[in-house]
Parts: sequence; C-alpha cells; structure tokens
Amino acid sequence: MSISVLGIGTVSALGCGIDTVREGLEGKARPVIEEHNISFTDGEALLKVYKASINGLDRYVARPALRRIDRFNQMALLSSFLAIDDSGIIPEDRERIGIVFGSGYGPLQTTFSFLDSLIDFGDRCASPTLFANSVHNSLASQASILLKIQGPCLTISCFEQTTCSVMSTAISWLREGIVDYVLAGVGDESCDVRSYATLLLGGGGCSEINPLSFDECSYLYGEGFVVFLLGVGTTDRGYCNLISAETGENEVSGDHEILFLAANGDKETGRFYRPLINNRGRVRAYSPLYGGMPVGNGFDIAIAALSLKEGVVYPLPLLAPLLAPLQAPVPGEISSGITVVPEQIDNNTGNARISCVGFDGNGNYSLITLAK
Amino acid sequence: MKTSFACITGLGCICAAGISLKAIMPVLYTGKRNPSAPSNFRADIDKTSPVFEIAWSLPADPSANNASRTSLLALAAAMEALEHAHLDNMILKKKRVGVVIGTTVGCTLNNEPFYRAYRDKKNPEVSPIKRFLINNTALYVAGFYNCSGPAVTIANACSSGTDAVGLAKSWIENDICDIVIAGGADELCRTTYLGFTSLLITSQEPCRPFDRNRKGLNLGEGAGIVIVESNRSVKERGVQVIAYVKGYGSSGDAHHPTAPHPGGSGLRRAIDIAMRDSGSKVNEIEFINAHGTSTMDNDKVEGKVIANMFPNSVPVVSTKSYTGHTLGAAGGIEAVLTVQALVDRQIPATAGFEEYDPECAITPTTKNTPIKSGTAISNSLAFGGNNSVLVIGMEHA
Repeated sequence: MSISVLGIGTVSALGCGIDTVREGLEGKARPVIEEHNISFTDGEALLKVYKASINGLDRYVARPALRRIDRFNQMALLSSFLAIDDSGIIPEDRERIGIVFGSGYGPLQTTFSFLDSLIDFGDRCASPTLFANSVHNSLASQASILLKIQGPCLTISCFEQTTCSVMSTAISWLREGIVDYVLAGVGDESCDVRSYATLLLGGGGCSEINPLSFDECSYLYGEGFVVFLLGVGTTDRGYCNLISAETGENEVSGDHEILFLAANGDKETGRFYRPLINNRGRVRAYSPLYGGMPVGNGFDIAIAALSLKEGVVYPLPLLAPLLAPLQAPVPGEISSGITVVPEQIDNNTGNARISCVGFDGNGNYSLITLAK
Repeated sequence: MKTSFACITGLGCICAAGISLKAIMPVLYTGKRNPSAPSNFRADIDKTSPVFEIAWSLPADPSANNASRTSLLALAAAMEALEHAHLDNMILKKKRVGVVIGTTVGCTLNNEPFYRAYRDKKNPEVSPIKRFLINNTALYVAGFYNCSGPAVTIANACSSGTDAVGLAKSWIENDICDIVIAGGADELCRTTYLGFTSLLITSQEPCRPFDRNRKGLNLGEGAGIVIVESNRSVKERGVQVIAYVKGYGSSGDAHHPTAPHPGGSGLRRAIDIAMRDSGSKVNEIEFINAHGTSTMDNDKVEGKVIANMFPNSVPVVSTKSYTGHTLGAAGGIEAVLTVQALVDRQIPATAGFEEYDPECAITPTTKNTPIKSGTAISNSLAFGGNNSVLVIGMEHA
C-alpha cells in the first residue's frame, strides 16, 4: 500500500507555504535571522535566531478567534491549512482524518507565560487560558477544533526522534485503515529562555550554520512548523510516496542514492553525520534555510518531497553571500556528490529515492525515505 | 495485515495506593485511600486540594543520579513489569524492544526555580536544562535498558498512557517489535497543580467519581507499565500470557480545548472503534474502568455515554478514586489495574461514591464486585477533546 504526500504546509524563517521553501532552495529568498539580546548579570550577549513569520492565518480563521491562540499554535494551524490547500483535496468525512503532531520542546513560550502569571500575580492568579495552551497537545487539539477533524488526535515529543515517530505513526494509521488521511506535522518555537539555554550550551555564537563542518559548532537555532497531508494512493496525487520511517543506532547502513542530513552545526551530533558524507550518492544538508531544531528533519522531508516532485536535487544552501561566490567544499572531506547547482534526479527506473537522516546526541538515528 | 496478537506478559505499577501492583490491589479491595495536602511543594491558594502522593522513596537509578521523579516512576513500574514478564537484559538484547510511554510533566520544561532565576537575571546554571534533556520519559527508559526498537513519548495529556498502549499494540501487530514496554508515568508538580486549580476543576475533598455531590478531581502521581509481546516471542520464551490488548480506538471531539463534547460524540466513536477492533460484543464486556475524574463535566458526559452504549448495566469502576488523576500516567495505571482485576475476577468499589446522580445516569461499583474473567474496557478522555479506549481481554478473538 502506497502512502502519498498529498500536500505540504510550512511556516518557517523563509515565510509561509511550500513556495517559500522552493524560493529558498533556488536562492531567491533568504531566511529571516534575528538577533536576540540576552542579558546576564555582568553584561549582554547577542544570539542569532531563525525567526518564522506567520502571515495569512486570518484567511482561514477569523481574527477574534485567534486572540486566545498563541503564536506556536498559530504556526501549526497555518501549516495545517496550507497543507490542505496545497493538496487541493477537501476531505469529506472528518471522522476519517487523523492528526499526529510532534515537537521537540512543546509550547515553550506559553509554558513560561503561565509561570509569569503566577510569579507576577501570585499562585491564586495563575492563568487558566495559558495553562490550557501550555499542554503539549494543545496544537493538535486546536487544529482538530478549527478544522473540525474528528479522527484520532495524537501528540509526540521525543526530541530528535519526534519527526520519525510522527511519520511512522501516520504510516501505521493509514496502512491499518484507521483513517483515510493524516495531517502529520512537527515544529518548535523560539523564546528567550531557549535563546539563553542555547548560548549556555555553546550554540548561537556564530554568524551562520555550516552543517558539514563537523569540527566546529556553528549551531543557530530556528523555529517553524511543517505539516504534511498524507493519504493512501499513488504519486500522481501529490508529491511522492512516503516509504518508511525507522529508527536505529549509530551507523546508517547502505548507500543511499540521495541523502539529506539534518546536520545543523551542532558539534555533538556532527560526529555521527561525518561518516555519511562518504555516501556514494549525493549528500545535502539544508539546515541553513530553516535553522537548528530537534524536528528540523521535518523540513528535510518537505524539501525531499519537493525535489522528487520537480525531479531535481537542489544545491547546498550558501547564505553568505547567497549562492555566490560558489564556495567549494573542503577537499577530500566531502564526497563529489555535493554541487552548488540543481541536478536532475535520474528517474529512468521510476524508483528515485531520497533518504532523510537525523541523529540525536547519543547516536540514535531516524531515517525517513521518500520515493517518486 | 496483523501478524500477531498483542499479548500482555508483564504488569508493573506504582501509585499512591502502593509501591507495586502486589501492594496496590489489596489496598483497592479494602477501600483504603488517603489523599492529603501536597508535601513536596507549597501552593499559596485559598483552598488546598488534596493529592494522591507517593509517600515512600523511589528505587534509585544506579546509572544516573540526575533522573527526574517521572523517569524514576517509569523505571520502577518498568522494572516490576519486566520481572513479572521474566525478561532480563540478556533476553531484551536479543529482541526488538520498543518503548512507548505517555506523560505530561515528563516532557515539559517548566522548572520554576530556573525560570525565576532567569527572570531575575541571575544567570542560572544550565544544569536544569541538561537534566530536562536527559529525562524524556520513553528515551530515558529505552536508554536504561538499551532497547533497540522505537522509543516514543506520547504527550497527549490525560489519554497519553492509553494511547501509548494502543501504539504498542500496533507495533506488535505490524511486526515492528517483538516486545514493547508501554504505559504512562507522571509526577506531581506545582505548576500542574496550580494549572488545574486555576481551571476550577479540583476538589477540596477526596474525589467522588460519578457522585451527585462530587466537587472535582484530585491530582495524583505514579506509573503503570504493561509488557506487550508478540505471540511468536511468547512462544519462543515459553511464558504465560496474562491478557491481550484486543482493541484500541481513538477519536477527537473537535469541540473545546478543555471541556468534553456535551453529547460525548468523540467518546462514543472511540468506544465503537475499539470494540470493532477487538471483535467483542457489548454483552461480552465484564466491566468498564472509567476515566471517572470526578469533575462535573467528565462524569456527566462519560456516564451518559456508558449508560447509552451498554444498556445492560455493565459494572463501572473509577480506579482514580484510589490513585487520583495521574494525567499522562492514568491510562497506563488503569490498563494495569484493569488486567489485574480480570485476573482477580473482581473489581473494587469506587471510593467516595454515595449518591446516584441522574445526570451521570450510572451507578459505579459500591462494593467489591465479582466478575467473570472475560473482557473489559478502559476509557481515557483528554484535554483538547481526545478520547481513547482500550479493550482488554483474557482471550483473543
């Protein structure tokens, strides 16, 4: 049974919608990277953050209804609406649609806003609205309420393994016939505390992400949400097929025709990606477009689906300056598969595949494979 | 196509009623409970709601002294369940072992002292963040046992534990794993306590599920773990099957962020899906372990749905009357207690229930009630309107 990627909705530092991702890949758009000023007792530090913009949600939800919906929730909602729009499908039976969302950290800003309410005004004045929205599954719940989706509604949170778990659960639901469609989405949000923690953990101090430079930390964190409308069918309905989503330890076996690495400049995980640049097929890493986050491989899946649909592998994003000069990879370190111009995907056999791999700090990997 | 039945071969539980399943069941059958004011944190509120707190020391994790209370609760229940299933590290190493655990506090970065220090620009150390990063509940347990299969933490509010067992069933039936450590774990936490207090759904008295004079819920803490195993693995190991996860159903209300649909439409669908998945008939259900939080809305909606879908007056119990509402752990704990009640062929009285409420339309158990060893249901309703249901039986269809 084939599982198809029918529609994609994205909210990221590149903007809203899959077209903004394409523009980023083609070098026509740059991600918005803000500077956050972090205060310490003895001074301040600057940190760069990939900041998502949320534009156009009022096309789908009346402004008054958005007042009590926090920013992270709005990212998830807009991505969901955009994924459905992108698919061109209007599912009739809302009981046969499921939602499975995931996040590395959950609604951080609202969690801290809830703490603000009790710190500022006392325990008696803790905010019920903020508490309800601080629960991890509030995003999936809001999506179900506003989209009137009555199938199963699940939320997963396990850092770098989140995206793979979300996609494998969606595959199971569809293969088992529990639902006809699944909105599968992942995301994370920025907040001041995350900025502070990133600085303390050694990230954020560089000017740009260099995902394939494994000996130095070039981690900049990002925010965003990506949602896929998945369904049973063939690739003539949408982007491509979602073949598998699996986890494992340490070594990713086999050679891959095209391999997308979720490497994001984090030195801790970089050591696990390093052997993969010797993959015989082509290797790419796109985190400079969306920033570092535990669920960043969700954006890799979106790029893989787009690549398979359009029959090209996009070059590594080089942001400074954009696409020029064409900086060569470190000689001898990176396979010859890396280029700076789009390459055609050889689909003569009709089996073009892209594998998206992500590691956590313990060497556990997730491998998500898509095919035309 | 299903390649296996989801066999339950081990049970483990820790909650305010006892440090192990063996200790818990006699407490339930004698009707004892002792919710009291929280002792691990202070709350500056007008009326304190009692909690079901675990009063004894948790087993230590020898490999990491930075484990969170939620991780330790999960580990305690997992240890008991694995021992019950006759599983040791040598066997686990040879099997595809998955871990799926539901939680709320276990995946939330809400360290209040750290945040207060951050707000006051006191440069708090990063250690609480690092501690958070190594204490994701399922990843923690999977790492402790060096499990080779998928590890997933479900963060689906109050249905998390039930959803975890449902996902374990799927992994076994689809040959993704040989064995799954599944359930839920959650600790009591000041932030959560104040959150529920702010929603005005906690009771200043011990909870009274389905009672006409119920005032709300009491929070609790604990963990419940079931070992779910393929029949091939069971056969290879020559161990006894305790029960089967026969059916799982989940459905959303699409109604309100914190209140259930007044007609219980999502719960009806979830029960219907789980029953169909199990191949069971309504008259085969021996009892229902209700979500039964003791809030006005939950009990009214759930009671009416049960009365309508099970007109033959199937016995209903709320074990939360002994454990409190343990949030992400609840579904795991209740799955364990449901299995054990089937094994014991009796269900406990619902503590605190005295007066029938016509709005709930059901009378839960008022004394220990003998049952046949057959099939039972465990319900979970969550914030956001998700409803999840397990059908557990002593025999598969």
